[in-house]
Amino acid sequence: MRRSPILIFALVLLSDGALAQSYRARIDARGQSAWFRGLTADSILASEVVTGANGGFETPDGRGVRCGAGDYCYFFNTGPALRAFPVATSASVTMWGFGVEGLSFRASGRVVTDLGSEDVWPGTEPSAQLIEGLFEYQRSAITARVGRQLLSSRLEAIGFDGGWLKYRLNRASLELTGYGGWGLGEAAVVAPQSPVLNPLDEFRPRDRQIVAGAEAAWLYRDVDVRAEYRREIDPEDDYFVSERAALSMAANVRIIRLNAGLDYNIAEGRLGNADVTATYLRSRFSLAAGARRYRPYFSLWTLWGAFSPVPYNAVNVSAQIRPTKWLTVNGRGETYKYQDAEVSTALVPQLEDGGWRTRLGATANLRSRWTLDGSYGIEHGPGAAARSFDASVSFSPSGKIVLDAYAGALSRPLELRYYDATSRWIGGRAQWQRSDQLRLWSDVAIVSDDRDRPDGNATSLSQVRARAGVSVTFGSGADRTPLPPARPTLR
Amino acid sequence: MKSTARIGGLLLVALLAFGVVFATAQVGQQGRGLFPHEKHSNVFPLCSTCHAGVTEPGQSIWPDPVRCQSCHDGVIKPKVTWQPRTGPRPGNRRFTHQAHDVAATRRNIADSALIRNCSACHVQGGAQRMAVRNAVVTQCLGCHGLKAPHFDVPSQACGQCHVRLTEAPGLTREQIARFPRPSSHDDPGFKLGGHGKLARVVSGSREVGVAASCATCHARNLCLSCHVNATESPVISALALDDRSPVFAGTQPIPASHASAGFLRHHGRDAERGTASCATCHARESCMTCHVGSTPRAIAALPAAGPGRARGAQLTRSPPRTHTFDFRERHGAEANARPRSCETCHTRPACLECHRPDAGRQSGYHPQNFVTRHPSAAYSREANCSDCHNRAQFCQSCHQQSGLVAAGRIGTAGYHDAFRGFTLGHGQAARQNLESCASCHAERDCTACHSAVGGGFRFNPHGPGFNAARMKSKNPSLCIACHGRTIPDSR
Repeated sequence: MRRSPILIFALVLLSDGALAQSYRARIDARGQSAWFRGLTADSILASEVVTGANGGFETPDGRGVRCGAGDYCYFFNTGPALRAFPVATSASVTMWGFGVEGLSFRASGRVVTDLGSEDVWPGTEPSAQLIEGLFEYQRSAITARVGRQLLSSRLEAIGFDGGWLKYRLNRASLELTGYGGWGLGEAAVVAPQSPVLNPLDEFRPRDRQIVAGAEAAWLYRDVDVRAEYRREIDPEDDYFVSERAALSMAANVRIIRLNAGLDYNIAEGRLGNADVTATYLRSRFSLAAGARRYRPYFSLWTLWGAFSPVPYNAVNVSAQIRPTKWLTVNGRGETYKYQDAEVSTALVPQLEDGGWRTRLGATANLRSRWTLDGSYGIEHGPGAAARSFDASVSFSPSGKIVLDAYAGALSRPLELRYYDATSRWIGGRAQWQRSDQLRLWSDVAIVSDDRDRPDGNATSLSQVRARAGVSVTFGSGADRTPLPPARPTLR
Repeated sequence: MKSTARIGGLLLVALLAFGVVFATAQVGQQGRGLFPHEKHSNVFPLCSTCHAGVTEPGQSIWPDPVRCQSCHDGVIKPKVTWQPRTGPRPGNRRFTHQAHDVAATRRNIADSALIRNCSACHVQGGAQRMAVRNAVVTQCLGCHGLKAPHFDVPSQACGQCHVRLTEAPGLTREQIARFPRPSSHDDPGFKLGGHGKLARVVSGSREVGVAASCATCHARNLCLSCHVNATESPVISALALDDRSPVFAGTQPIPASHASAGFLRHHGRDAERGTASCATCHARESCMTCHVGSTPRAIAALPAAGPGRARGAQLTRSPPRTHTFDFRERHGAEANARPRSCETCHTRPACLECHRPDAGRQSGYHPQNFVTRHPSAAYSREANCSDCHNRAQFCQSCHQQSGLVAAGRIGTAGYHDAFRGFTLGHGQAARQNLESCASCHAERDCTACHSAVGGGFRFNPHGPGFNAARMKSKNPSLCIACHGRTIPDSR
């Protein structure tokens, strides 16, 4: 079963010359090395525990412990170093010219593995992953897709194996879309019942859910309005896995751009996420102000939704000013507050129920070859806070070579655990766009990372991280590569 | 003695200088063929003595050089070496005396004597009879009722006196380059659109030719240097090719419409209505600098770049003004409402790079060292992690590798050691950050206390907005997990 995506992908790649007149393909290979150190749950006999200098219980070597009524006290010990070296080769191919006008084939997939000492890096299973593989037929008002596809939507992007059809009624400025098929896991390229999506052995369905949805969009002049409905059904018992609807809107009112949207969880009878943003755009500056509401979404085959997660409401503002042709200054701030969780525990204090975050930055383009960038951010909220500074210098001696140097510092305390992180890093990156078809890059960073605790469990994750990659584009019309990583430029 | 020699020397130099200037002037006059008519005013009382061909068909318009030698024999007068002109006629005048006589007489019999009245055309008003020159243009214009300056007469009037540039082989490239510039060419809108309007000759609604005013001074070569669709334009095609015509060496002006705030959004719609004006400056490749996704119909309708066509506008791909510094964080709302807008410049693999990231990839979305930074962003979901990461595959598996997931009975290990009463007071944190809980805990960790079956303590986990009836109707198995087969009717 796991081989089928590989076979489809291989067939597609091998048969392109025989079937399609034209094709374009891109292959990326990249890898990175990193290591991290976690925690190991440990215990000690209650009789061996000592009282520390701050009055709490500790192991004799100074590690804080938690004691209950039993014979043992428990603590987290510093775990072993885990070395990871994930390597991935991804390919995307587009083919057309099958003899049927408007018919094309698209596929994206990858082969990935972890060459490190243990298989520790997330997302390296299964080793062959088909992200998309579909035939598309585009003719006048109709666009149809069949195969594995990813559907972008306000209701979160969802992958499924099935069909998708869009019909445009240009006279009425309408677009009608319908789709259906067998769904993939949330933000995954494998089915939801796959073991790789269940490391903690949670409740999972036995069968892939059936996804069906519809969308209607009204695109009139400067206003786009889009309404969506999606349901997921467990075929085993025909129960709902989810049922949601969403509304999105974008409008241009003179020089103000307005974006708004919301989603509604029909299955739970609750409003989900919502946001509205107004952006005022001028050539020398822009100002955006918005409000948003975030509520996590859980499928009905998990129990999490029954625990009634509460949303937070936030207001935010961001601005970008270009006082001179070469300098851009920007800033962003957001404050948020959770709705009342309606939890009453008189004996314990209240936790943080709101927070804020802000970041100020500046970018300078000097003589079109040099770009200096710096930003400073502070955030404070439930669970964690952070203060960070980032700086980078980019030098592009020619359009083909880009050299970057970057550095930064971070201080990050946690609310619920003694594990304050202080991190500093410095690194460099080189990119060589050898031709329109070939790009190579590498990146090396030295990271000094200390985790502080008041007991003897303080640790360090200092390390050297290295990454490298190559991107190759070829085909019958391989005259352009996708955009290289975005860089701030003068406009 | 010395002073006499000095004066003699100066006189010699002055004489030599005078001689050189005089000789040069003579050679120049002879070289340019300008006959000193005024000097001969007493010798030739009638113009027809030398220019019999003007009035008598079959006769030469030039005098016989032998007759000049009757005086200029080197004895009476210095010898001259003048010869009548041969080869193509210089200039671009359509005029012949015979034709002009016929036309003038046909129009007004009273003008039949005009051909014998040379001064009427060749002498500036008020000047002596023999102060002749090439036709005095103001007098031509006056007789023909044209009141505007020569170069500003109505377009059709040019053709009355001038042949097309391509039909005037006597003109050299340098002479053409020195053509005076009509005042119309200095109009602000002339370069854009203005010259096109003047150039068009229409019959009904069809363009059938080019204005005589353009053809008098220009060949198609000039148009080809800017107009990408020159070969498709009936106006431009009405001009012949001629390498003597200078090409356009300036910069192509950008239409004011292109600078309007909504241009980026509307230009596609405008192009759908008709690409004729776009094709003036843009080849298909020009558009495909940005449009790397599916090719819209309007682009396919544009001419492809190639030999024989102007290069057209060369565009540099740069992010639109809307892509401000934090657009990466805010693009979702816009992309959901206006996916077509994104598809203009971005292909699917560009979305998949972040929304379905591979393990070997260095994040382009998150800042450097995000592994250490992520708690503050993840606790309060600064962004929706599930847009790109599967909670189980990404969060749980990594936390599991790091020893951070709950492995035993809740409350034993004491991970949340900075908050002593966490077991009792976790409700608020859980409802606020349930996704964070779910990145380390499985549901069974919660049902140990919150379940009504299997030894649970029956602590009610349902909070604000919980709609038991609706959830039961959608998926009763969710209720069964904690309540068994006896699902309460309401909360």
